[in-house]
Amino acid sequence: MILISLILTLLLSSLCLAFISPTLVLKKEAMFVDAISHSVLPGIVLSFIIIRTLDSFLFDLFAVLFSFLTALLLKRIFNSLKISKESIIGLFYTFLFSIGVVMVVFFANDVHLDADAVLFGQVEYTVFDSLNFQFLPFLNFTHLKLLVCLIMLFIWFKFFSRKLYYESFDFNFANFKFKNIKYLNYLFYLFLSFVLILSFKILGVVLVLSLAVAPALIAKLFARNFDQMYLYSCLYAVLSSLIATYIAFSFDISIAGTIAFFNMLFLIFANVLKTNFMHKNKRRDT
Amino acid sequence: MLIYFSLTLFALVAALYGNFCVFQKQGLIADVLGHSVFPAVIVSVLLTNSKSYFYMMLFSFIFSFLSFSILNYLKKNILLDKDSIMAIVLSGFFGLGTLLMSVLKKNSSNLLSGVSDIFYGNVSAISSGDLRFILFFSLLSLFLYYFLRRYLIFSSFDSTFFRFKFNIFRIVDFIFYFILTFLVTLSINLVGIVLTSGLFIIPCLVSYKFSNNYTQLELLSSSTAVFSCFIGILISSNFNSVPTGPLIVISLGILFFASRLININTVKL
Repeated sequence: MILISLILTLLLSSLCLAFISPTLVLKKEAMFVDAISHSVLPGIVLSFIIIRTLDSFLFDLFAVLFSFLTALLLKRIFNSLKISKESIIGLFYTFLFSIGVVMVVFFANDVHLDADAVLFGQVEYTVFDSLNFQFLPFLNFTHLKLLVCLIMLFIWFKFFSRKLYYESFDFNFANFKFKNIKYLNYLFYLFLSFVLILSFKILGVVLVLSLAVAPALIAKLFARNFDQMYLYSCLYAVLSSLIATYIAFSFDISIAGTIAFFNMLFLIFANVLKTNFMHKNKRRDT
Repeated sequence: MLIYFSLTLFALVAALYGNFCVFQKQGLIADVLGHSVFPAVIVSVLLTNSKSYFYMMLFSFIFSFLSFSILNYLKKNILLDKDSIMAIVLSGFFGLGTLLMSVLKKNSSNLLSGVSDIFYGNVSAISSGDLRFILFFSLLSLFLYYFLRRYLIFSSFDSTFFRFKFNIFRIVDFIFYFILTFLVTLSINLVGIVLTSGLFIIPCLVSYKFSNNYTQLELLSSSTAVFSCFIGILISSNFNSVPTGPLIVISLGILFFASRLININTVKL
């Protein structure tokens, strides 16, 4: 029963991340996720100070709000300071993350929001807040949140897929063609922070990054259009999380770590496949 | 006392080499190297059953070299952009570390106590032997800086000219990344692997607005690093539970914002 619930949690969170990953990869904002997911820590501690529990829905809402504000701040700073993007990311995530660590030590060291849990996440703890449905006993509260998020993401994609397509390739052209493309961008960051906060508790800071980038990056190697990229990335997310869970359970090792490591290996494998075998076929065709 | 001296020395050397990282537009390379050090530390603990600094250095050099070569291999494909590759490699190595850590937890949990210090640093956990090691390598890299400085300035501002003028560019690049790896590994217990890249990048970002030539930049950035180290050590010695690394990075960040404010005022005047 616990196994089914864990697999469902992983599947839902990786699907959610796979839905936002093509836009991220096409916009070349992969390290931006790293920056947000690190610098969200002070916001989480602050919302913990206000709400005083980790499990309530209100805590998630506050954390999402803080992370959204952090994302907007970072975006603003990218535009205003004339320093290369990488240096700004390096500066801000270390600065905000260290503020978060100091805040954890000062205010919240006695609960299980210690600084190590933030880095690794706890898949196993989600099992305990079960919903107690009679016919679906493996369902818990985290599943419900992730499912709502996934449905919202699907609707968002269904409505704005064309705008997203233009926007992720060429922001200036999209800004010229559609009227309110800026608000779509803000909506994207809101969704991003929503998904990040939800999967942050499960997977930890660094491994969220792998799940948010790898599906679309591998899909980009093989896909021929935008919709195919979404399809492939979702398929890859489902497959990789299933395979990694199987391996992790058979060797009794950490699930999230296995997924991240296998993502890297699979990217290298896919790259070898693409550059050495598939490129030649194309040349023969033309 | 000697610990704090070596911490300050390390911050100085990191600031000096970090200038080149920023100017080569590789601000996050220290971050990638730092994350790939994490599995190396655990492998060394697993294989040797001890927390010896020498084996940690050896394995972390191997792992950083591996991550760096994977980065360079994947960069050749045009479809993959640099940011995403960096994210995948960084999190992949961190995932390997997490995976190995769960193995370590299962087999020998008595060795686990010191391992969690490597994320945020724990100055009090450094033994005197490790301290000698850190001091020796920081001094060595400071000594090497004196010779490498000229070549690195050429290579980071105009790499084409550098390749044209000197035919030792490969060796210089190799030594540069070699030293970066060693510096990142030295920071395991001093500031922690997560926050190391702050010590490399931020001093340069603080000081490059105020300097007219490279010597001024070097002086300003190293003095910024030393000053913020001083503040961090001062605060952390008053509050025992707070690790020193985050405090140093916070003081560096505050210095950065202060430098921005000063700049705005001068422009207005």
